[in-house]
Amino acid sequence: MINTALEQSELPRPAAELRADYDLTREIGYYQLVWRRLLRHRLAVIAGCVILLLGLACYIGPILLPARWDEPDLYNRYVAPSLTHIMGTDDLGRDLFKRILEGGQVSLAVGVLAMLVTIVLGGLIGALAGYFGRRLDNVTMRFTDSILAIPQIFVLILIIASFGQAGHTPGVIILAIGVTSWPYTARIIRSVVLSIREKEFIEAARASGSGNLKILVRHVLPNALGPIMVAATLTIGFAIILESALSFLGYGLGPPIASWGGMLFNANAFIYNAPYAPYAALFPGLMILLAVLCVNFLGDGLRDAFDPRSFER
Amino acid sequence: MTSYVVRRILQAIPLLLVISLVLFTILQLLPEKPWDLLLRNPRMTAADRARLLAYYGFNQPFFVQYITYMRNLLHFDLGFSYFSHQSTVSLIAERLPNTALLMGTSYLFTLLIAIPIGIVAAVKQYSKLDNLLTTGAFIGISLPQFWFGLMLIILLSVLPYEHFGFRIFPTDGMWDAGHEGNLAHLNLGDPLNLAWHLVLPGLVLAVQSIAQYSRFVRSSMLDVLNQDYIRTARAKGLSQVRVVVGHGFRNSLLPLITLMGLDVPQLFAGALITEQVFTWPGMGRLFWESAGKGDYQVLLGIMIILAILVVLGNLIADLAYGWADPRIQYR
Repeated sequence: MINTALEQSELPRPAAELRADYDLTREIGYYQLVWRRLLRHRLAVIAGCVILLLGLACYIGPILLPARWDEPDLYNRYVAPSLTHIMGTDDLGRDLFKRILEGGQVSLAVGVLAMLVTIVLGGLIGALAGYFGRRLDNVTMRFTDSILAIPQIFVLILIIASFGQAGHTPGVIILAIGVTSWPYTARIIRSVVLSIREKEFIEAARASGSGNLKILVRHVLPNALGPIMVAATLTIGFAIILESALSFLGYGLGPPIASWGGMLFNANAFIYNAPYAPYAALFPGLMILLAVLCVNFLGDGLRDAFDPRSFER
Repeated sequence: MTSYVVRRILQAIPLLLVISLVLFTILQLLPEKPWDLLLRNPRMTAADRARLLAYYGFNQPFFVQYITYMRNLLHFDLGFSYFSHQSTVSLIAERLPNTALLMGTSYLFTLLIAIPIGIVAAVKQYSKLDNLLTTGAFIGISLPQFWFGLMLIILLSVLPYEHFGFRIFPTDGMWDAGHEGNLAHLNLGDPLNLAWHLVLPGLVLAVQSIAQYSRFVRSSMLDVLNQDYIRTARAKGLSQVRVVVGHGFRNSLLPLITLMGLDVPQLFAGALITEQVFTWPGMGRLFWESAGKGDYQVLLGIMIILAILVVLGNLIADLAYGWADPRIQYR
């Protein structure tokens, strides 16, 4: 979607393994087939496991770690990574590892929720434009054209800045990211629906008296599920990066809430001058990279698994 | 060809109209109205308020405001900054060349690095090296630019300075003190000093494009390498290098022109972040500063100019494609 390069990526797959798909003795459903193909995509499986572990660590980890690590400890500011504080401490002497796990809760949640807003808006608009076509399609596509011509982060800053103090709350950030991201999704869903609309089974459904709503929900939607899921996965990564970029620019979540981007924003102040604390900038960024990388690998694996053409290779 | 150019420009006009209308509407829908800031002074009387609103035209109905704005746009008038009272156009003109230089450098880095990577990956398809480069491209795409910038600053500037007392690359601004120039006045200052300051921001801005372009070059190179004329070249007994460089190279690079055109909005967005990391006095930083102050005339002006540049970029890319690929006929 956003990344043209990802759409083209193809990882090598030995031909012998493909035979598992043609198991003629037993009939398996489409989603079971997709699941099998996904499991064969080694990187995607690893990435999926890492995401699960990361999510678990972020939501359960802070409960298990000592509560006093959250308290400011001014005798232990800027402590370098050691056995007691494996990622060191920040400017108030708080343990960075625990803060990173807590920040992960926010960053991951913002990513997923912003994705939901994006997919619902983009999916709805894209599906309607693709299905009904003609004037609706024309108007929608001109509208998305015009939105895509304005770099997204500029609009985001404008929206969040205008909310003043309220702009730094998760709700505004999530909605702002969702409201500015949907054109990308709408374009993908539209093109998918456009091709499904011309299929014979849609004609058959219409001939047997199904209304537009029923056709959309029962026939178009299930067939567009693959591209929607791929787009959704990649959108999570995109939203995580956007949120952290916004926080880094000072237009993200404010100080009481820790997010990975916000921690980088704080770290930015003490990498240039003594006491140098480069690891305070290193670790939150590494977590962003890890999370987004895994989401992208998973999205790539899903694309291959859903794409029937990867059969033939 | 001429009629095609004219038609494309005519098509761009309604698009720009829609964009400006969308931007104008967004501005009206925001919780803080563009004029709220002007009226914040508690000692202002009602008559003062009315006079101020009338001065900026904010007392007019929405469409009158929009039409006035568009008419002024045709005269290169985008209003004034509420604070410095400089005209938006002159503020942007001061900063745009700096951003353009940064983006140009980024394009240069991208092409210089991504093309060799893409070609090597295509020629050695499915090899260990190809897999490594594929993984590298994924990392490049997933890399948060500002963090990459911070890491480069720490590694190449802060740590060397802390331990050895010198910086390998400078980290802020465009020139060191005493070497200043001004791009808007075509004054390069000390060009070497400028180039030295350009390396890190240019690289940070380029990193995502490098990842994307290298994948693009790889796949289009693979397409080209399967063509009949490549087989003919091989059958004639040409060496691998001559086949790839002499016959495959040019055709596989054509799609890059389109990609470069489509990349303009992403590059502007990246420039905003990069300029922030390296305190580069470009348009993105102007936008960031104006957003902090609520200087809406400048914000709107920047976004309109960006949209025009994006549409122009696509147009130029389309025309350049036709120039580079003689198979394309414009009608």
